[in-house]
Amino acid sequence: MRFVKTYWLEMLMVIPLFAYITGFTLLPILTNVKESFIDQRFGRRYDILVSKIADIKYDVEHAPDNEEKGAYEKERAETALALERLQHSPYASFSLSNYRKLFTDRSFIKAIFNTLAITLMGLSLQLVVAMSIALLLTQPFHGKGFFRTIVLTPLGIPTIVSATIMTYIFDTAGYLNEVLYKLGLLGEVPIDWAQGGWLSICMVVFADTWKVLPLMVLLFIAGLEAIPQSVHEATQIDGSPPLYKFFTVTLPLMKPYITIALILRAIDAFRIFELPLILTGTATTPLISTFTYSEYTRQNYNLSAASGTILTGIILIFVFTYLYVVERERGTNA
Amino acid sequence: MPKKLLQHIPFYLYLAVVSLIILYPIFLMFKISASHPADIMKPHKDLLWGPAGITLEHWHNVFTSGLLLPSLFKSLLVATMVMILAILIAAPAAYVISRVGSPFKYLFIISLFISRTFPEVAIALPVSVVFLHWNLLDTSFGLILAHLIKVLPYVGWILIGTFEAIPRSLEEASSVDGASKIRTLRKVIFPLSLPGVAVAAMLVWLESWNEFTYALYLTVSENTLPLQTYYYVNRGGIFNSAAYATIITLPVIILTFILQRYITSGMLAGGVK
Repeated sequence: MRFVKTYWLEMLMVIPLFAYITGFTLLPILTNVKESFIDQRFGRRYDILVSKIADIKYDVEHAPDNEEKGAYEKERAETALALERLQHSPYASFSLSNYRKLFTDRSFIKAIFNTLAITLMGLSLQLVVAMSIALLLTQPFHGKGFFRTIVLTPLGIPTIVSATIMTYIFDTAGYLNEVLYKLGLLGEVPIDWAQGGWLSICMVVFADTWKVLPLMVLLFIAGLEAIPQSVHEATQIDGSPPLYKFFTVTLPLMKPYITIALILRAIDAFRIFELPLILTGTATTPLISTFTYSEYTRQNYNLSAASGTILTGIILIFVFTYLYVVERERGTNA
Repeated sequence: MPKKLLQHIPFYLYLAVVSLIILYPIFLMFKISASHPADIMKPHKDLLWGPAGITLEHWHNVFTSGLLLPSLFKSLLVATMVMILAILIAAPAAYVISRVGSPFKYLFIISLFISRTFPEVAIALPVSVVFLHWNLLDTSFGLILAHLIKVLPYVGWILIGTFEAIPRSLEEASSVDGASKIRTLRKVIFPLSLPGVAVAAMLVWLESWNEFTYALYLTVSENTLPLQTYYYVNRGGIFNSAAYATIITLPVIILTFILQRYITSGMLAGGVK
């Protein structure tokens, strides 16, 4: 009680934020997990019956005469009975049927594969390119400020916009095919980038890399600038060649930054949604996130919940890896 | 000297290629939004500008179609309300978190971080089912509630850093002088944190302005600007989608230009901490 009396103001200030997060983030996530264990056939029928009852209730209230009202009342009783029966049917109990269905669905297996492929390819490409640009940007050269501004530009482009622009580039009659044609690398038959498979994966990887490169570059610049000047001087005195220096001195010192950047990026790469949805659609190149959405649009809410729960699980694994790594870094630094 | 110059050629070539890959897509957006259809639709189009020159026809169409203003208005309303509400909810909490002792603070920060990493497609499904029952689908209010899910942990995280930068000794001095807790907050903390809060507010506004996933789940017909763009992309209306994409980008470019120095340090603080 005393605690409340002393800290009532502080509690009043903290509670709204965490109440909101509990109600609108934690609760939906838990609901999702719960719904994922309810058989899709039950979920669908249950939704239909509940909305039917609501409709009939409206009809009863707005019935013009008693005779019609009686008919609606009768219908309501029948529907309520059907709902009752459904709730006691074998479908109503805890069920793994959604997960069983997902793991036998070729489209979902493909979604897992595509998500993994996009994450792995994207992360390796972004690591190499961002590291090379960060190394350049920590050297003095003419026009460095100008180049830095250019590299950071995609930071100011919303994802929906970058996805839209990428559709112009990767369209069958798009600008990439045109560039390839003008370079003599492509005949009159254009490449259909959105056809699925590796081409589409490459397309999403490119679009994602274009968008997130600035953030990776900034993280790596911070890491490179944290390397003490004395280390650079020491290697200069040793006279080690630049490449040797990079692999034996810079890279090991950058390891914590690289690990953290990669885990944070992996969390985002697994959730990637707008780019694949807009660039490839959900049919040819499903990802776990776009698969979850397409099941939602088909009103298979329980299947969508199961797919979303799997995605949440994968992401939580990365989150805890991240926390573990950060905690360990804190331990070694202290 | 020539030898040194020769050594530098691959270096500058790499810079040029990277710059081109980054800038060309953005140029393409402006180009398509202001090109004659004859230049864009022909089989082998020009990579720079077509011979037909510049036209404002598509822009004229977009502004007179009657679809722009409702979605622009909804986007502006939602982003502004999300900004105000997010700051009102997150700033007091962030202040308290920045002042509590170590184990609690760490716990608070981690829970904010975790709630930010949950996939939106998993949160949006139950939210859209509930909003259907609450008659909140297609409304600005429903979308504001959903956008708060996305921005609150983020803005809380940034603001904790802002308040941590304000020395505690100032509050102690103020309480020694006999000011109450609330008076200290109003007269000392509030003015000092204002610049940081303003930056956070602009970042929130941008997040909501660009938001796509929740809007997609919670909208039936009252589109926001990103959804309207998506609608044209799906229909293959490339001139409209290019014009809409440009309209979304303009405020973002202006705000990021203002925020550039703050964004880098703020985002890094979020990333590395």
